[in-house]
Parts: sequence; C-alpha cells; structure tokens
Amino acid sequence: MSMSIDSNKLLLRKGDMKLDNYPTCAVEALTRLETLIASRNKQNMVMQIISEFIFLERTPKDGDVRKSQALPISQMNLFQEFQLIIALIEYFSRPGRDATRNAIFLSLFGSHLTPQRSKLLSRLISTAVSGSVAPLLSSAGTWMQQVGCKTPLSLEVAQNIVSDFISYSRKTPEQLKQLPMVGPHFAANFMVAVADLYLNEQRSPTLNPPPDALLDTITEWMMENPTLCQASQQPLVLPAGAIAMPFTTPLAGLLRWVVLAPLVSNRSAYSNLHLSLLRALQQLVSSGESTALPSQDLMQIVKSLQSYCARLAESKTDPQADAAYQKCMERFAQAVQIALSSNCITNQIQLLCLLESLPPHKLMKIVIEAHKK
Amino acid sequence: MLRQNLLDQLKHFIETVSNGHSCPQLLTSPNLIKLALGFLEELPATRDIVFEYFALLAEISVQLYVSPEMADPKTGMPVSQVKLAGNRQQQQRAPEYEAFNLVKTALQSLVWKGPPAWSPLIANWSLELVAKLSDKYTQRRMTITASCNYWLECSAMHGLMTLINSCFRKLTQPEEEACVEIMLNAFHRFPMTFDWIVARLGGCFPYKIIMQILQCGIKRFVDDYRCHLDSEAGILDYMTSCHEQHLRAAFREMLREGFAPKKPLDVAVVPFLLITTNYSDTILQSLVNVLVEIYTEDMCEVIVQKAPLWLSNKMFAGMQPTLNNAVLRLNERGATLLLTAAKMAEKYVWCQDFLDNSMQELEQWVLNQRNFPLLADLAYEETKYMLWKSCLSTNLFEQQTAVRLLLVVSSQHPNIYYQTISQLLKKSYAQNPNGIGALIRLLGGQSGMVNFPGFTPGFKMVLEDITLDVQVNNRLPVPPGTPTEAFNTFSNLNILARMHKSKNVAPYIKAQHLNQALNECLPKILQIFDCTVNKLVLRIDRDAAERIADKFRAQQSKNSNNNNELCNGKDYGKRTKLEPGEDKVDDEDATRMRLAHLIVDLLNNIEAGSRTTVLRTPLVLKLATLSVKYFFVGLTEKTVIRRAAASHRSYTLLQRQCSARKIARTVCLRELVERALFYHGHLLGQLEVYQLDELEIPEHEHLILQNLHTSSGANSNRSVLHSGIIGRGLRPVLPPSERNCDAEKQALYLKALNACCADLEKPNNVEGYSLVSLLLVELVSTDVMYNGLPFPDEEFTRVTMERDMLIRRAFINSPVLWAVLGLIAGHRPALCYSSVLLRALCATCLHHWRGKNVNRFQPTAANDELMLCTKKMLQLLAMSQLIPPPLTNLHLIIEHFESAEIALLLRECIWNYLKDHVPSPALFHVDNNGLHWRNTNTQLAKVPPQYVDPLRHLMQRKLSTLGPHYHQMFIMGELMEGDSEPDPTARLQIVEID
Repeated sequence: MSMSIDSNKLLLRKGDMKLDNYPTCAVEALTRLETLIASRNKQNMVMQIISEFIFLERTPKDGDVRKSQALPISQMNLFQEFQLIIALIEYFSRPGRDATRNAIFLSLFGSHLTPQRSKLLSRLISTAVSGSVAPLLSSAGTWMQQVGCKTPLSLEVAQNIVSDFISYSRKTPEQLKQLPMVGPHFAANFMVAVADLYLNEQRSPTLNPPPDALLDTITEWMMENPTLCQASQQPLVLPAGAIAMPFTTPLAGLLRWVVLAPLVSNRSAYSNLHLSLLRALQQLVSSGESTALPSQDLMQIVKSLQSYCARLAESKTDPQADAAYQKCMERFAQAVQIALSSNCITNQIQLLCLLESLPPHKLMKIVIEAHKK
Repeated sequence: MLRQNLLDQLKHFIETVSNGHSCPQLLTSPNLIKLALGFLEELPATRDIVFEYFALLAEISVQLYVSPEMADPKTGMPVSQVKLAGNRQQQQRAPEYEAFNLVKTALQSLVWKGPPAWSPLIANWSLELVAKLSDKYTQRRMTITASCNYWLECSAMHGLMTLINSCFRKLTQPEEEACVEIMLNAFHRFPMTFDWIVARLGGCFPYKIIMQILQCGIKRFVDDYRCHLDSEAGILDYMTSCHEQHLRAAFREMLREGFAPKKPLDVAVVPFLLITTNYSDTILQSLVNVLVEIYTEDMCEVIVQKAPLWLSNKMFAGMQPTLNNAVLRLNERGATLLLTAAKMAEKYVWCQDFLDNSMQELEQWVLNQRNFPLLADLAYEETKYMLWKSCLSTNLFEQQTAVRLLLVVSSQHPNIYYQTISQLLKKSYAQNPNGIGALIRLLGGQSGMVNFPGFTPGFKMVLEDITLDVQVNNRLPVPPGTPTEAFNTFSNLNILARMHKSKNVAPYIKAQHLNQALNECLPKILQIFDCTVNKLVLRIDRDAAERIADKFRAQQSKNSNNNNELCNGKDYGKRTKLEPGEDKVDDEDATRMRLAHLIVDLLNNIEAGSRTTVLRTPLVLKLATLSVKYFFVGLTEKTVIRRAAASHRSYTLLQRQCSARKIARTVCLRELVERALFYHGHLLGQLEVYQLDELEIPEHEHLILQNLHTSSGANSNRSVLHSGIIGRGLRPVLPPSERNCDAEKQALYLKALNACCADLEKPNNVEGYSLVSLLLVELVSTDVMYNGLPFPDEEFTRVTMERDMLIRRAFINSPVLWAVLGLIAGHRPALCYSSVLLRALCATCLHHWRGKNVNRFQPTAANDELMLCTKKMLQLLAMSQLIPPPLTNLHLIIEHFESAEIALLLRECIWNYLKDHVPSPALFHVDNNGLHWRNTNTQLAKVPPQYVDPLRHLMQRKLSTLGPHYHQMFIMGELMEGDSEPDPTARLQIVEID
C-alpha cells in the first residue's frame, strides 16, 4: 500500500507537481485526482495528495504515528489560498461529469475540516457566489446536503455568506439575488442553514431577527421562485456507491421566522414571506411528500411561544390581549391548517396535542378541532 | 461576461500582489488600488486579502518614511512632505509614499457611509497593523510624546490613526469593549512600542482605557511585584495631560476598592498605585489630589487597619524611601499632604518617620539648590495661608512642619519669608504661644543656607502695615476690647526682644541680628510711636483745657451772676454733644496708651538710641522729643503704680539717650522743662490760667468805645500790674485750696530730669544740671539783658523790677520751678547759672517785705506766699552753698522776724553777701571725689562780720525763741573752729549745757 503511494508520488513528481510553483501543482493534482478518485481503493492516496499538494499541509511531525490526532497545519498564505480558489473555480468551470466534480469537492472538503480548510471553503463559496460559478455552487449544494445543512460547517459557510453579502455590503449584490437561478440546490440548502441561524431560541437566549437585507432577499427568492423549497429534493449526483443524505427543506425554518417575527419585529416583509410560504406548502400537495415539515421543527416554534407566554405571565399580561402573540398564533394556525390539509406534517397527533397546551386562540382552536376528528 | 471578468481581475490581482513584493511601484499603482477597492464591494470573499494588500501599502509607506533615503539630507529628519520638499529621487517615490492615502479615504468613507459592520473590522485591522508596524520599525525607544510626534508625521500611520479614530466613533458599547481589549492585547504583545498608540487613542474612551490599563498593571504587579510598569505609567502619564478627570475618577474607584478589599486583587491596589507613582509625577499628583479630596479621619483609621494587608506585599515593605521623595515631586497639595501627616503624627509613629524623612530630604534639596515641584506648591498663595494657619496650631508637629516648610520656601522666595514674619507678628496672640514659637524658629532661618533672606524686611513690612493702621483711624472695624494688631505686634516684638536679652532662651536667633534688625526699623517704630503719642498728647491737652474751662466757669458764676445763664446754656449744649462718643474715645485712648507703653518697652529692650547704634540726627531728635512726650503722657495714667511704671520706663529711655548723645540730652531737657512750664504744667500743679475769652467784646462795639474802657478812668495808667480787665472787674481766682501741687508727680518729674542729667560714666558731671539751669534762665527770664551772674547794687534792682516781677510770677504759676531749682541746687555749682532767677526772687521779696512796713502790725499769715517764697529762696541758697554757714540756717528762723527785719536781713546779709561774692562756679573747687565743694570750713572764719552781724544782733534780741538756733548757728560754729577736730559728743554736751 505504502509502496504504491510512494510510487504514485514519484509518478506525480515527475510532472509539474513541484511544490515550488504552487498553483500549477495544485491544478495538476486536481487533474490527477480525477482519475484516482474513480478507483475506490486509492482513497488514502487521494487524501494525501490533497493534503500535500493542494492544501500544502504538513503534519506536525512527519514520522509521528498518531497522525489522525494532530491536525495538519497548512503552509499556505493568503495569496496562495486565493490562487487555489481561482484554480478550483477554473477547474470546476471546465466541462466535466457532475459526479466526478461532486466527488472531488467532497474529497476536498469532508465533514471534518481544519479551521483553515473551512475558512478556505467559505471563501471559495463566497467567491463562487460573487462570480456566479454555477457548477461549483451545485457541488457546494451537494456538499452541504451531504454534510448536513445544520451542522456547524454548513452554518459557518452560511454565516460567512451572510456577512459577506449582507453585513459588509451597501446594497444586496445582484449575484446573491440571482442565486436561486444559478444554483437552486445550493440556495435551498443555504436557506435551511440561514433559517436556523436566526430567530432560534436554541442558538441564542433571545430571538434575534435576521438582517433586513437578508430577509428581503429571501422573501424575494421565495416570491419569485415558488418551487425553490423543493430544489433540495432533487436527487444528488454522486459517484457510484455513495449514499445520499436525507434532504431538508427550508420551509420549517422559515415558518419559524414568520411565526415568531411579530414578537421582535413588525416588518411587512414577513407577511410576504408568510404568503409565499403558504403557497409553497400548498404546492407540496402535488409532490406528495410528507416529510417537508418535521414535527420537531414545529415543536420548536411551540416551545418558543410557550416561553414567550411564560414571560407574559410573569409580567401579568393576558396572552389574549397581547397583539404580537395573537398575530403569531394566527400565522401559525394558518400554516398548520394548510400543512395539515396538504398532509406534509409528520407526527400530526403529537403536534396537535402540543398546540392545545398553548393559551387558547380562536383560529387555532378551529384548526385543532377540525383535524382531531 | 462580467462575471468572468471579475474572476480574471481577481486572478490578475492575486498574481500582481503575490509577485509584487519586490517591486513596490507595481503594488502602489492606482489602478491596482482601485481594483482592490472594487473587490470590497464586488467580491466580498477577498476582503481579507484586500486588507492584507492595504497593509502592504501601509508598510511600504512606513518603510519609505523610516528609510534614510527619504530623509532630509541636512537635518536627518524624515521628509514627510516629499512632494514639496524632497529631491528628485524622493519626489519620484512620493506616489508610493502617498499610496495609502487613497486607501484611507476609501475606507473612511466606508466607515462613515457604509454598513456598521465595517467599523469594528477596520478598527481592529488598523490597530493590529499600527501595532505591527510600529513594533517593526521603531528603531529606538522613545518617550510617548516623542513617539507620537514621530509616527504621526508619517502619512500612513497618521491615516491609520485617523481611521481608527473615526471607527471608534461609530462603535457600539460591546464593540468598543472588544476594541479596548484588542488594544490592550496588542499592548501586551508590544509593550515597548505600542504605548504611544494606546496613549493616543485612549482619548477616545479615556476612562475605560485608564481603568483597563490600571487593571492590567495591577495584574502584572500581582504576578510579579518586580515587574516594570514603564509602559502603563507612560500611557497614564500621557493621558493625564488631557484626561486628568478620568484618571482621578479611576483612582477614586480603585482606592475605594483598595480600602475595602473584597477580591484578592484589591489588596494589591494600594501598593500598586504607590509603585505606579514612582514612574511619573503627574500620576503621583493625580493620586494625591484624589487622596486629599477623599481624605477623612475615618479613612485614616481604615488605612491603619488595612496596612498590614498591604505590607504582605514584598514591594511595599521596602517602599518607604521612595515615598519620601514623593512629596517633593508634587506640584500642588504637597503642603496639604505634609500638614495632614503632621496632624496625625502625634498618633502614629510612622507619620513622624515619614515627616522626618521628607523634611530632611526637602531641606537637603534646598541646601543643594535643586529645584523641585513642591517649591511651586509652597509658593502658591493658598498654601501660604494654610501654612500660616498651621503655624498657629497647638499641635507641635503641625506647627513645626509648617515652619520648616515656610523656611524652605523662604530660601527661594524671600517675599514669603517677609510676609510670614509680618503675619506671625500680627497674629500670634498672648493666649497662644505657638505662634511666637513658630516665629522664633522662623527667625532663626535655615541653617546652612548661604543667602538666606534677613528678617529686617519682614519687620519693616509689619511696621509699615501698622503705621497705616495707626495713622488712619478705624481702618478696619474691630470690636472694642480686642487687642489691635498693633498692640499684638508690639507685644510680640517685645517678647522677642526680651528673649534675646536673656540670651539662652532663643538660641535660634542670632542675638545681634535681631537687635540690629529692630534698630534698623527704628524709624518705622518711631513713626508709629509718634502717631500714638501725639494723639495722646492732644487728648491730654484737650482734657486739661476743658477741665480748666469748667472750673473757671463755675468760679465765674459764683463771682458774678450776670452772664450766668447764657454761659451755662452754651456749656450744656457742648457737653451733651460730646458724650456719645466719649466711651469709645476713652477706650481707644486706653488702647493707645497701652500701645505706647509697649512701644517704649520695646525701645528699652532693643536699647534704642544707645551709643552702639548709628542714628541719624533727625531720628535722635525725634526719639528724644517723643520720649519726653511719653513721659508726660505717662503722668496721666490713672493709678499711682501705673504712673510709676510708665515713668520708670521713660527714665530708662531718657537716660540711655542722654548718656549716649549730647544732642539728645539737650533736646530732652529742653523739652522736659519747656513742657513742664508751658504745655503740660497742669500736670505738675501749675497755677491754672484763665483762658476763656476774657474780653468778651461785643461783636459790633466800636473801637473807640473799646478804647474808652482802657484809656479813661482811674486805672488807665496801669498796664502791667492789673489783675483784671478794665470794665470787667477782677479775674476769677481759684481758691487757694485748689492749687494743689502734686508731690508725687513732681517727684516723678524730678526723677525724669535727673535721669536726663545723670551721667552714668561720670557720676559727678554736673553738665546736665547746668544745662537745666541755663534753660530755666532762658525760659523763665523774659529779658535778654542783665541775665548775668553778678548781683548788682541793690539800687539797681529798680531797673529790672518789672522783669523780676515776671520771674516771680512764673514761680507762683509753676511751683514745680522750685523743685527744679532744688534739684539743681543739689548739684553744685549748677545753680550759679540761675543767678538771675535767684536775684529776681531776692529783689522782689526784698521789695515786698519793705512794702509791708507800711502796715507792720498786720501779722503775716503762716503760709503767706511771700514768706514761703522767701523761705524757699533761702533754702535754695543754703543748699547750693551760695551763702556761708551761719546764714544757711536763716530759712529756719526767718518767720520769727518782722517784715522790716526780714527786709533788713535780706538786704544786709543775703543781697550784699551775694553782691560781693558773685555766685559763680569759680567759688567751688573739686574735691577728691570729683564733687564740687565750697570749702566752708576754712572760709567760715573769713565770713566778714558785716554780713553776719545784723542777724546776730536781731537774734540776740529774740534769744528767748531763737536760742537753740543761735547756739547752733554761732556758738557751735565757733566751737568747731576752735576744735580742729570736733567731737560730736562734746558738741551735744555743749548744746545741753546751753
């Protein structure tokens, strides 16, 4: 095994694979990987080549047995990173098989990354968004789904994109607005991650609303592309033998946004988003999928509402009299009604019982009673 | 297409930048900068690398700034305005140097107008960059101010600082804290080169920075108490210039924690703060200011209680020596601090140690003529007042500290020394001897100082002040009864002078100096004395005049009732007017009197006017005049004892002057005699003269009518001897009972004369008495003619009779003249010079006795004026040995004779004898003791009988009454002549037999 790796190394070094002229050796390595990746028994070698020639990583002590424990350290400087980014974009822009590309992307960025690699990944995706590099975004979408949209890595990438294009930007760039067209799959997964970042009591003690520009962008996406939420349901193009991870839709997360939004904000954008969400839910009927709204996600909304009611009780306010709470419940009831009718909620009974425990609301009561029978 | 373009641009950018390290011109091309700036908007992922590129640009600029090729060849200073000032090569590089400006402008607009997320990012990046660059390119250690000046000249650095500043203004609270954190982190990484940045930027949130710096410092201090806190102190020092308030607030906060420690770190607060103060004076100053501000008695307790806690810190134990220096470094409140310590010193020994060490150090520095900030504090006006107040404190530590401080500052600011002396003299009261103690110490000066100011100006200053006080009445409103400043001052001066006299009491003061100083101030003292005494004299005169007028008015109303009502009416009006002010005036006069006494005491104590001091003649004259005036003022004191005391004082004063200077004696005597005769005679029993408007001429009476009063009628030809006003009747004469000649006062007066005349060195010198004698002639005799010594023929007296009468009148008016003559008579031959007076008396008596022959059977009253006058005259002649022995007893028996006999005796025995034996000093010779003596023993035999026989005959006729006298006068004398050595027992036996 080690012999073959060494021989391959030798083989590689004969070509342009010299660490001295960096970007070239990375490009070369990429092309070599294409062939290597097909054969399944050379995974170790692939990893080594990636580490050594693409990320210029060096394990702390070469001879050390406990390689896996010590994280490898990259020798790259910022310029080399960008050279690599450019090389990768160029590589992914070249015509080729989606499966191979996705495989290479997944090899480059697995689910456990050094901080340097994750940073590079963020930059790479951000650059791809800026440059509207569709193939790369598609691979990134696949990667996100495989890694899991709500894993820290994905969230980091999402957060980075938000800060790049929203926080540090005077106006929302066209590239971001057109993202659903360029990379619908990535956009859908991005939405899942972003939805998880804001108005989420599991992440922060208080409900912090998304930046206005981000909300506007997502609302626009949803209004213009009603089917965007279903983009994640498209089958993944993976190399042979790979197992596709289950998809998630941004519907549950976004629903949480619109339901809880009245508690912290009164922007009209939420109403628009709510409308488009309802439409999307309606359209789900045709597709017949029943897992679009996992009941855990909905229960999270209920919990937030409950804690809000507890706070109301503390300040001796009747939830019935609280306009914000009423609005929340109204939206929630509408959504639940449509979701139930389009049959896309898992574990309906449990949800209905939980909903009953909330302070009573007219519309919600009607919805619950209609569906209990 | 566009997107592809964007990626191409990125590629180009990356390539250029990564290859361009060697070629700054490429990097600094404006196009590339614009591209990079575009990326910030278009390609946000490249933010990091773009900022890295900007950092490169900044570094290029800084590199150029520090590189020698960009320096001004002449001065070696970096040329910051290369475009204008540099040479060609430098100008070529100018775009590179200025490249960062473009970035700065863009970023600044981003900060101002862009989303808020940029501010913290740019702030952090700039901070890091500045820290890195300053660390990398600082070639040598500089002070904070120097660093600031140096780096802010560089355009990139300046731009970065501007950026940071504008970012800071946009930050929210948590971001701000993060920034402070970053700043402090950077500070920890580069403590040597980052301090100027912290100091510079600290101004944006001073309190936070100051507090953080202090906290950082304390943490380091706790970890290792030997650590160097230069940078922290430097930053604090720099920031103090603008943000002292914040520093103080921070100190207040920390001290609050330090005094009530809760966290383990709190224990180190006080040691830490004290250590920090060693690094910078301004910090020390602030700390002290805070401490003084919050200091209370309770706090002191707390400090004592907590001190063991602090002592556990090793540094604190060995700190005392540095603390001592601390006070010297204070610019303000140093004196307050020391005094506070002094106030506590009684209680705590460590305060004493602190004080001792500090003061020693202080004095050492002064001795070495080093300048230090504390001096400025001490010279401060308010400090001065505080120190003065402390000088009067009963707390000895406080007082001594204040005095020492004053001495220290005096060496540099003599005016403060003078003012202090003046103030202490004025404000030390008898009740509180501390003030005077302080003064004595102060007068001692700073030992070892070469050019220490003398204290004479101080005395002069206070005297000047008092002069003004005394001259301008009621300058300051003072409640009655309080001792005035003048009184106080003189009493203090007096104490000093007395102390100096009893030399061992005040070893601090060099004896001669004080005396000399006070004598130098003599003009001023005399001025005050002059003012005081003259006012008193005026008062005496006014009182006397009023009293006499009252008496006469009463007398007049008794004598004649015609003008009674009118007079009284006017009179009462006058009196009532005076009364309200009376008490106050009296009180004032009493104060003034006491002041006068004090001044004289002082003059005596400093021996003013003695021979050893040099005085200008006007001063001598003034002193003499004033002494005499004081004597007369002293006579008006209310009780005998006080009069005696006052007189005694003036004797000393007079005697000293008179024996020192002839001119003083002349003036004193003249003044004494003149005043006794003319101005203050009423004190010595002078016959009070009628001084009212005697004539009372009606306003519109014609002159012709007035003349008619005098020129017609029986008395019109008598001009001299009249005793009333023609047309008005007799003058009112006071009843004889009221003519009291005050024996006590006369005695005092005579002693005064004696004090002037007596010569201590030559006790037998009669010069003074002769002078008095001559003066009497001058003042009493109205004529300049015939004032010589010889007695003329008795017939000749007619020519001088008028003059003689006037002289006699003078004796009647001023009985004190007799006493004076008596004094002179005792000092032979002084009386000789008054021959003319004796002659006048003799002549007038002779004539009067002769005149009595007309009604010879009228018996003469026992105390008839004529008889008294005759007796006194005879007594005088006898005393002065102007008449020989048998005649010397004449005054005892004269009253037994009839007027005709008296006239005969006066003529035959006295006048004729004196005519033949002219009373002149030549008659006397000086004996072994230096006394003037007329050898009567040998001359007795030679007394020609014609002068004695009339007496002998007359006595023989009246032997029954004059027997014993006859025996004594004639028989005894003859016996004694026979016996060369008379035996007193034998003489007695003879008397008995006889």
